[in-house]
Amino acid sequence: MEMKRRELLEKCVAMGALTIAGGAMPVATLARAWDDAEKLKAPTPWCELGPFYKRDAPHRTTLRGANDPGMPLAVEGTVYSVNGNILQDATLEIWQTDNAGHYDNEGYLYRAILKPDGKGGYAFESVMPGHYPQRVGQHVHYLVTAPGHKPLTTQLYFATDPVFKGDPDKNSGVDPLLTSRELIRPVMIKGDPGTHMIAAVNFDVVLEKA
Amino acid sequence: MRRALGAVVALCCCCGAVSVRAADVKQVASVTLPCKSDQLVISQTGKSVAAFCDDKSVRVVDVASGRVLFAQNGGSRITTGDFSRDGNWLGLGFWDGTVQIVPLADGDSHKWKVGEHRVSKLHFLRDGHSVLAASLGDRGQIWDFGGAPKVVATLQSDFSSPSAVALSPDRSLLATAGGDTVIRIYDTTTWKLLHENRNATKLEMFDLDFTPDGKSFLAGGADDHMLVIDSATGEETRKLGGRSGVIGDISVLGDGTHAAVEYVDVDDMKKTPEWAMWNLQTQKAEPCGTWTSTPRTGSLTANCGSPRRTEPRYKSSNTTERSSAA
Repeated sequence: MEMKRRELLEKCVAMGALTIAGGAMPVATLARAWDDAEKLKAPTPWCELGPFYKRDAPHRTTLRGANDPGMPLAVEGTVYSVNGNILQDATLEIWQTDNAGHYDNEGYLYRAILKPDGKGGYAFESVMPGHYPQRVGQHVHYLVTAPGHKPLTTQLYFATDPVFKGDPDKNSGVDPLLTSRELIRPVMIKGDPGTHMIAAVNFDVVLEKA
Repeated sequence: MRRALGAVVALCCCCGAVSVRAADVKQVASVTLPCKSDQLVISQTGKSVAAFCDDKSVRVVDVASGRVLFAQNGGSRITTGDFSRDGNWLGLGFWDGTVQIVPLADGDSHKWKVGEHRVSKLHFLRDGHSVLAASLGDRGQIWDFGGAPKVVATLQSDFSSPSAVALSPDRSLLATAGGDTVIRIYDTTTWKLLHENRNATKLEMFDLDFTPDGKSFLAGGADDHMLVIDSATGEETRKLGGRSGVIGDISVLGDGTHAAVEYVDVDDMKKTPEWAMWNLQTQKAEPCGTWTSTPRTGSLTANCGSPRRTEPRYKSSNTTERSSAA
């Protein structure tokens, strides 16, 4: 039978295996602190904003058009605070190049503002970004804000990017602007080969408190 | 943006030599570069040129004598550089967030860390012993290096560092723009934010330059429109468009009636940026030449009658910082 954390703590205290400082801290408090500690999350690494952020993008979750060239891409994730709480009142702004590596500065192609759902989750559909001239890796820009938290600028990279030569652990340094291996996410190819395939990526975002 | 020898100048380098030319393209000085470089900064006095060399060294050359005034080899990669207005100081920003202030006349050298990320902007201010420095992603800070370097003021930003800054000719105002797309104007005595324009542009501005009377400044960046901003209100008074490309450099010339503007095709960085000469009175622009570079030979030509400051670029590429950081 699985022992609950509180029961385990109570047993430890009863057996003298655990001494609670001053004897004044209730077991429930200690269990809650343990729970909180286990929920703690490391903040998502910063990566630079880049020069082509554009304010006032449309609110939408589908960025690609029906006939847009390129590998369809589905990204989903959850927005957290470093204490592990979900941030359903966050705002995500994302922008990327099209399949050919072109940013749309005149309009808002491949740009969007997203709001997480009640569980802090977000999702969008796009195409795998192209290689922008003079940049090494394919990437999607993120600007994430939430009340009481520091704004985060970061970038999502893809483990399938040919520049990593199949080994992101070894080759993440090929892009001098990539600040952390953690930003290179696994890509799962879903769908029917030859008919409808889609690259699926999970990218959770963790914000630091202000 | 750069005025030297009391007039607008252009740099013209050929086969390792750099020439300083007046607006009428009359050569007024020539100096041999000590290294291969396509990244040059000319001092606002016109007396010195800093060459950011292919061998990762930086060397400052006295234009009159050709003598190397300062040389520094290797070390952290340099990301930006600026001369003080009197030409007596050279400021260098590094990839690791360090700023170095080098005396070219008398004075003490200073080196300190301004942030965790590369220094994206370094700009000397009015009094000769303070600089605006920004580590990428951080707010810009005003540092006084008269003694031990200390922060005097922190500029405002929603989420980014300043990418373009300009001092008014009387040095009383500082205009800034950054990735948050907001144009701001500060009082350089109190560092109070005077005006904030959140509506003029939805994209980042890459260069700003005041008119000689200080009443307005031009702003240009990631779209192909150049904005005229009223210094007294921060409001946009005109929008000058009709040319294609990202605006990388704006230089208000002479009496303020003209501006040389660089347009970059960011989808084809191998393409030579084009310059246009804007008549700010008629609001019309004419092509006025190109700026070409050949990194292997350090050969540069510009025919626009424009001053030009090139900042060091990533060594991993041969593009400007803004384009390689997309």
